Amino acid sequence: MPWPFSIWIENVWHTGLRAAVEGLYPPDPGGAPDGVTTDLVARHLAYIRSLPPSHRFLLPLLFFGIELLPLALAPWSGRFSRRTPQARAALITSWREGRIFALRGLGDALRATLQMMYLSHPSVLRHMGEYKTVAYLDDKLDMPIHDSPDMPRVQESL
Amino acid sequence: MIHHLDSLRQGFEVDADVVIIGSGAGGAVAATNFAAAGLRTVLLEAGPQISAKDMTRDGPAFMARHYWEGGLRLLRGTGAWPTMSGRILGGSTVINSAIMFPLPDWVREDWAAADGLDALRGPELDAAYKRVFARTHTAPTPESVFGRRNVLTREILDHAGLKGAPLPRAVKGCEGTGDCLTGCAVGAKQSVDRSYLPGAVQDGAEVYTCAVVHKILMDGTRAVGVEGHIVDPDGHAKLARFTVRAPRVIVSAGTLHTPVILKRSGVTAGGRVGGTFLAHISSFAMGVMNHTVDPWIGATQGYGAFSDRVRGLKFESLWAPSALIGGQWGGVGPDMYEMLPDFKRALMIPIVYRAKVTGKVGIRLDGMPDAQLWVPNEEMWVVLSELKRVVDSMLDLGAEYVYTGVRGVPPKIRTKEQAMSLLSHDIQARDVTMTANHTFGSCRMSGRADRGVVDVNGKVYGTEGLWLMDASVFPSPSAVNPQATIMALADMNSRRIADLDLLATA
Ligand SMILES: Cc1cc2nc3c(=O)[nH]c(=O)nc-3n(C[C@H](O)[C@H](O)[C@H](O)COP(=O)(O)OP(=O)(O)OC[C@H]3O[C@@H](n4cnc5c(N)ncnc54)[C@H](O)[C@@H]3O)c2cc1C
Ligand code: SF4
Repeated sequence: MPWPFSIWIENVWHTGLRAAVEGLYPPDPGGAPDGVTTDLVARHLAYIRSLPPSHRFLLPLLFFGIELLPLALAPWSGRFSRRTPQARAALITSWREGRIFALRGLGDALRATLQMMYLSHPSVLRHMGEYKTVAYLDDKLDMPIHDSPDMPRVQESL
Repeated sequence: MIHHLDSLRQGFEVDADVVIIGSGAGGAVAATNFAAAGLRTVLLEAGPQISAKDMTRDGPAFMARHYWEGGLRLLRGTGAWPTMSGRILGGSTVINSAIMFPLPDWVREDWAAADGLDALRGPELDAAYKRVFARTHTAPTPESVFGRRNVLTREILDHAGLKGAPLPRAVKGCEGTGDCLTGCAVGAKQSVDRSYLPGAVQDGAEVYTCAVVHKILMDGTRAVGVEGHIVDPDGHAKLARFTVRAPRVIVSAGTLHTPVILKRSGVTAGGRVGGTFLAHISSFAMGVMNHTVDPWIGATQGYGAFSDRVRGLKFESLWAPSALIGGQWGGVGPDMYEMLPDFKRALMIPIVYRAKVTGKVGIRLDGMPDAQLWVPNEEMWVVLSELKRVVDSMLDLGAEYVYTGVRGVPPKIRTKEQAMSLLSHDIQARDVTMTANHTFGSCRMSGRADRGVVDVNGKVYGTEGLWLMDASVFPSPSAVNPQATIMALADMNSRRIADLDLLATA
């Protein structure tokens, strides 16, 4: 692929990813961690790099599609990232709840992949109140560890 | 000896008496018997070996490294449904919930009668189950590791009139961490890397990790070895070639990969390799109760019940990393934030059903399996009507709302009237959020060469020196969690090849 074209493609899908994170994980007055505090864009890029080759290709394709598809479906409203964050969230919701199978799939896939990364950030685990009774000594994920009323606490794994 | 990536970067060439592809439920058991019989045994595994220090509770990170296709593999067909399997020494047994059930008598009889597999009625299979259960320390889940989630599951199933029991699992010293799907850093789960492979290695088996078999070497109709590449489990780069020459080749790469390897090797059994594909279908009810549940505490799947109305349908408790559970549940933006505290009060009861489905497995352009599954709407309606029993029971016992992931029903079912929508025949199978982790039947076993790929001993029809020992050989779905049957069949058939006593006690 000639390099200006590949740079353009990378720009598009990175923009799509950033726009989706801004739209779906805006600042929360209620105190839930948002897309910035959970470092969602950078973590998602690292996650994509850790995937097998086919999905290193498919996930960027998803964000590429998210960024440009609105332009194809409703040219007057522009690319995904040109909309307000609220309008982006509304668009993804309407795809997920709509009747068109392909758009539903796209909306669900976007939501699932971002949500997976979001829910595996320690600040979100703390916010939800998730914890374990057994510590994993070498785990990079900083999981809260404490007693449970239902289970004896065991200090650490083997 | 277990060979790791660092010593394999230059590839290798070895001779053996038997080579086994895949170290999961089927392959590890077979390798253990061959090594015990004194055969020079080579076991090839695509994934790396992992130990407690490699384990993380970060679900996506663990899956990206240790599941095939990063855990993002989808079945095509009626819907786009996830299907997962482990790419790791020990195969999917390392990342499963360790539930162990023998084949119900009626399924065993169905296999024997419908497919002319009379030998399955004999005492050899019973003896194999006994050995497998003893070696894996299979026992009902003790209440001491239930946690509130399994206790509540019992109450909900009881209230729905479903007589359940603690699930029998292959564990020793389970601490109820609820982490089974990302391995067991506690070391309690008796996955085959713990229960079988150490014995195989002690008896001289050579185990090569990061060794991805490309194809079987055939000399006419005779299998004479395998070849493939050493693949870095992180970057997925092909590093070097390897060849193993052996007069006996056992393929245990799992339901999706076994047909791919056979097809690539020119073994098609008249189009029957990958011409069929079956799976249990599953749906779930996620209840958000009016009190704390702390679902992340307690044995991953500790309690379950069989339906008294639908044969082959089972209810189970389950928890997985919240990152995986929460993928579809809820909306986006502020709606999603509002839902976060609900996790603490949630519990999940999946349904697993032996539906009449059809499917096939082909090969994608990138060499990965391309599996398609078709589920008739009528079969999904069966699941949904049973699901409604659980939803009603959850509501009776104080659920604030129940989420089912079914399109066309309220995302938050708050009343029994709303739950009635689960019975609507407007719901199509593809409207249901489903997973299919019990997969079978891509290379069916049959007493007749024109109906199956392998005979009752797992030998591939029309070939010499080639056997299959994994879930691909199931003639039809097992109706219960399959790993015990995969292990028992592999135990029985590998003993037959290795001339070991088929009736030996554990
Ligand atoms: C999340 C989850 C939970 C489950 N829970 C349960 C449960 O509680 N109880 C139960 O009975 N069942 C359970 N199952 C199903 C069960 O784990 C599988 O049915 C069983 O492990 C299949 O055994 P197998 O030998 O056919 O394949 P696997 O165990 O998957 O082993 C196949 C092996 O072959 C390797 N392989 C594939 N291709 C190649 C190649 N080209 N070269 C070299 N190696 C290769 C794979 O990496 C893998 O290690 C679960 C499955 C999942 C995904
Ligand atoms: S529940 Fe935890 S301790 Fe028990 S087998 Fe599963 S991972 Fe191991």
